[in-house]
Amino acid sequence: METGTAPRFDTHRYFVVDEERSREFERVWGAAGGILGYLREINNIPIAQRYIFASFAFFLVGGAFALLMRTQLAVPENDFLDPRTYNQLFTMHGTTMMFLFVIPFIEAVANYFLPLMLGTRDLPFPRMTTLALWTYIWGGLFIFTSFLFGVAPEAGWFAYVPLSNREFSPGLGMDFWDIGLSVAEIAAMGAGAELLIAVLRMRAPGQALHRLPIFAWAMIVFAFMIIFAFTPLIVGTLMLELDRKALTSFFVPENGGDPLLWQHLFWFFGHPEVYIMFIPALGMVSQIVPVFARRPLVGYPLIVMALVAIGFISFGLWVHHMFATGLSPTALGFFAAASLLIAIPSGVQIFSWIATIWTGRPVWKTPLLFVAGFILIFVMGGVTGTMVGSVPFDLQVHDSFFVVAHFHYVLIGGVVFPFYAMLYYWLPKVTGRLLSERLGKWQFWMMLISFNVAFFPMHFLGLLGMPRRVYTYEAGLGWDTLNLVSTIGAWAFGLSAALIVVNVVWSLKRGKPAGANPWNAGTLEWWEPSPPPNAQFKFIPFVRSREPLWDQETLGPLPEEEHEERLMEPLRSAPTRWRGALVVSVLDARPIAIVQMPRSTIWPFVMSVGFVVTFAGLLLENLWILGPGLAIIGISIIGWFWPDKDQDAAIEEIGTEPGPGKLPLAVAGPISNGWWAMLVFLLVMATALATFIASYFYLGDGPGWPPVAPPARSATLATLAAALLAATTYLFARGVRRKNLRARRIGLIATTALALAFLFPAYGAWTELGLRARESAYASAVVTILGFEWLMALVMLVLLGGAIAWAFTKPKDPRGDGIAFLAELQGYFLAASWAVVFVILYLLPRLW
Amino acid sequence: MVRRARDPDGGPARGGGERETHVGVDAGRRAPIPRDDAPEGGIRPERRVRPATLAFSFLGSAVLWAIHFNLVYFLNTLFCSGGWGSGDVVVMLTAVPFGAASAASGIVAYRKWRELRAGRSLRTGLVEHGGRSSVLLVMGIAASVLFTLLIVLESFAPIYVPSCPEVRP
Repeated sequence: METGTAPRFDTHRYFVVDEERSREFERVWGAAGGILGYLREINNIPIAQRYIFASFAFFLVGGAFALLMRTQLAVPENDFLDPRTYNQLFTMHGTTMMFLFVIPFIEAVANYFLPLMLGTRDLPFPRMTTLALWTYIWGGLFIFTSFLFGVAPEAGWFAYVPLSNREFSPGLGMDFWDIGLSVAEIAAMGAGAELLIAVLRMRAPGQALHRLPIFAWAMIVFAFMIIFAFTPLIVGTLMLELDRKALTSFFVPENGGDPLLWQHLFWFFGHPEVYIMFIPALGMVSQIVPVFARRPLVGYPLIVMALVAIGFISFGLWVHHMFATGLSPTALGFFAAASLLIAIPSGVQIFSWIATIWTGRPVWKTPLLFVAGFILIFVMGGVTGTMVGSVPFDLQVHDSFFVVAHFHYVLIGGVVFPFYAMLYYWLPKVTGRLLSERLGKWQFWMMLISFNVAFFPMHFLGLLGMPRRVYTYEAGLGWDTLNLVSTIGAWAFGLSAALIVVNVVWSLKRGKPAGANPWNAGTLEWWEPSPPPNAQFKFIPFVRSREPLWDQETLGPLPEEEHEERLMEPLRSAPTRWRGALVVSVLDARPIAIVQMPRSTIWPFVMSVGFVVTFAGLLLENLWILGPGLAIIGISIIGWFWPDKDQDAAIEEIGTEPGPGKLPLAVAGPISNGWWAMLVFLLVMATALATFIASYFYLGDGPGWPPVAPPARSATLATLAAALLAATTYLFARGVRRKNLRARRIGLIATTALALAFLFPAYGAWTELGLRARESAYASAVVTILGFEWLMALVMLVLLGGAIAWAFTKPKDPRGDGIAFLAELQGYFLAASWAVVFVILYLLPRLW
Repeated sequence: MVRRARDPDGGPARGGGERETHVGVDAGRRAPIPRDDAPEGGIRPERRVRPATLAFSFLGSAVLWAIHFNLVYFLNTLFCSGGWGSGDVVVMLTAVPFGAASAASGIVAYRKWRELRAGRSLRTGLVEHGGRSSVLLVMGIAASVLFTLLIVLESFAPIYVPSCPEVRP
C-alpha cells in the first residue's frame, strides 16, 4: 500500500498545477515552529488532535474514578474510601464523563473530520476553534484544581438544590464546579456554533443537503441541540452561583424561590444532553456501516428524519427524571408518551443498519464489530429505557441501581462503543498507520463481555432495592455477590478499554502504512493523504453523489460544470498570499463566495488565559485578579479583530462585489460567515432570555407574586428609547446598503446615543422597584432579566463603536460594512427583546 | 442496473474502490450537479418546490409538536394551579388543530413528492434517487406520521390519568 499519495484523480487535467504555486500554498497554510508557534496554531488538524488528546485524557481520569468507586462497593461495609471522597468521586466521574470527555471528544472528531468530509479547507472560524480548545482545557483543569485544595465538589454532577447551596455545600467546591463548568460549556457552545456554520456554508460544490454524509447531518442536529440545551444550563448555573454568593433567591423557598426550578433547568439540559452525545455517535455508525457492509446505507432519508426527530423529541423528555417530584399526573403522561415514542426514530436507525449489513457483503473488521456491539448493548439499554419511561415502573426503581445500569447501557453502549468503532475506523487517517486487527478484536470481545459482567448485575441490584449514590451497604441484603461480580467486570472493562492506548503505540511503531483510503470508503475524507496535511484540498472537489469516491469517475469538474470551475479559479491551488476557502449556498451547495481565513495568531490563547483569570477572580471574589483578567480579555478582543495584511491582500485581489464569472469575497452581510455567527449568537441570547422568562413564570405561582403592579415610568422611557433605536438602526443599515455615507454616520451616532440613553431608564426600571434580590425570588428574576437587557445594550455599544471607527476612518472599506450589519442585527434584537420584557414584567402584572 | 464492487480488505490504497457503474447509462462522467432550479445540459432538473412549502413539509410537524407540547403542559399547569377545574377537555381539543396541521404537513409533502417523482426518470444519469427536494420531502412524510401520533397521544393523556396532583392535607 502506498502512503500519503494523492488518489488517482490527480491525472485529470483539473489537477495539473504549477509546483511553485503549490509550495507557496502549503507554506501559507503551514504551521509555525517553536513554543510560540505551538500556541499560535489555529489550523483544524493540529487543534483537533490536541482536542482529541485532552478529552481522551479526561476519559481515562473519569474512568479511574469509576474504578475507585467500584472498588469501594466490591464488599459490604468497606472503608477503602470515606463517604466524602466517595461523593467527590461520583460527582467528578459524572462531570468529567459528561462535560469534559464526551462532548469535547465529539467536537474534536468533528473538527478534524468535518472539513475533510465536506471538502473544505478549514472550519469557518479557526480562531474560535482554538479559543474553544484552550478554554475547555482551562475549564477542565479549573474544576480539577479543586482536588488540590481539598474542596472538590461533592453534590453530584446534577448539583441538586438545596444540596448544592451554600448551607449544605459550604466552601468553594460547588463554586469550582459552577464556574469551571460554565467555562467548559461556553467553549462547547462556541465549537458547536462553528460546526453548524461549517456544515451549512462550507462544503464542496454539489454537496447539496441530500448528499451530505450522515455524520454531517448529525452535527447539524448536534449543534442546534447544544444551542438550545446548554444555554439553559449556563443560565441555571449562573442562578445557582448568584444564590451561593447570597445575591439572589431563586432556589430559596422562604423568599419565594423553588428548588425544583433547578431540576427543571438542569434536566431541560440534562436529557437532551444524552442525545447530544448519542446523535453524533449515530452519525459515526452510519458512516462506518456502509463501508464494511460494502453497500450504500439503507434508508438514508429515514435515518436523517430519525436524527432530526430525536433532536426535537429529546426536548420533551426532561420531566422523566422528575417523575417522583409530585408533578401533575397528566403532565407526567405527556412526558411518558414522548419518552416511549422516541424509541421509534431510534428503532428506525437500528433497523436501517441491520438492513444495510443484511443486504450487503459485510467484512467483519474491528470497526464493524464495535458497531455490532453497540447495537446489541444499546438495544438492551433502550428496552430498559422504555421501562423507566413508564411512570409506575419508574417510581419503583427511581434512584436505584437499576437506573445506573440503564444509563450505562445507553451511554457506554450508545456512545463509547461507537467511539471505539470510530477510533478503529478513522485513526489510520490521523496517524497514517493501521491499527492491529488482532488486538482490536481482542479488545472488542473483552470490552463486550466485561461490560456486561460489570453492568448487567446492576439491574438486579436495583430490583433488590440497592439505592444509587451510597458509599457502602450492610452485609446480608443479598447484594454482596452481585456487587463483587460487578466490580470485577468494571476492572476488566477499564483495562480492556485502555488497550486502545497499547494499540495506538504499537501502530505508530509497527503499524502498516494506511494509504489514503485503507477501507475503500466512499466519502471525501478518504481522498486526502493519511495523515492529511494542514494545507488540505489544494483542489476543491466537485461532488455528485453521497459517496463520491465510489460513484464518481473524477472529483474534477465535468464539462457542464466548467462555469463553476471558472468561478472558483482564484481558489485553484491558490490564493497563495492568503488562506482562502469556498462558501456555498445552504441547500444546493452552489459556490457563492470566497472567504479569507485567518492565519496563525496568539490571541485565542491569550483570551482563554483572560477567561480563566477572570473566573478565578470571580471564584475568589478578588478584584485584583478579576481586573487583570478582564483587561487581558479586552486586549485580546482588540488584537483579534485588528485588521491584518491578509485581509487587505484578499480584498485587493478578489474584491467584494460579484461580477460576471467572478465570486465576491465574503466580508459583510448575509454572504459572510460572521453575519451567520451573529445569528447563532442571537439565537443563544434569545434562548437565555427565554430561560430567564420561563423561570420568572415558574416562580410566579409563589406567595405574594408579584408584590404590587411594578412602577413602569423608567421602563416606559426605556421602551421609547428601544423603539427609536430600532428606527435609527434601520436608517444606518440602509445608509450602508445604499452607500450613503452621511446617512450611515448620522444613523450610527444617533443609535449610539439611544443605546446609551437606554441604559439609564433600564437601570431605573430596577431601582424603582425598591426590592433587594437576595430577599425575594421575584426581585431575583426581575434583576437578572433587566441585567440581561443591559448586557445586550453594552454589546450593541461595542459593535457600534467598531462601526463608527470604520465609518469615520475608512468609510469605503467593506469590513466597516460588515460590523455595521452585525450592529444592525443586535439593534433589532435589543429592541425586540426589550419589548417582550416590558410586556411581561410591566404590563402583564397589571392584568393579573 | 447497478454493479458495485468494493472491498475493504483489498484493492489499491487510493481514492476509492471500484466505481459504481450504471449499465446502459453514461453515468457519473456525464451527470451534471443536479440542482432544483437550474436546467443544465438538456437534462430536466427536478421541479422546484417553494422554500416555504419545503420548510413546512420537512419541519412543520416537528415544530407543531414542540408548540403543542409546551401548550398542553402550560394549560395543564394553568388549570391545576388556578383552581379552574382540570381543563381536560381543553387539553384534548388541542389535538384537533395541531394534529390536523401536523398531518397536513405530511400530506403536502406527499403530494409534492409525487409531483417530483413523476419527473425522476429523466434524471437516470444520476447515481442517486431523487434530488434535494425529494429527499427532504420523504423525510417530511415520515416525520409527519411520527409527530401527529405524538400530538394525539399526548392530548389524550387526561383520559388515563387524573389531571392535577393529589393535594395532601
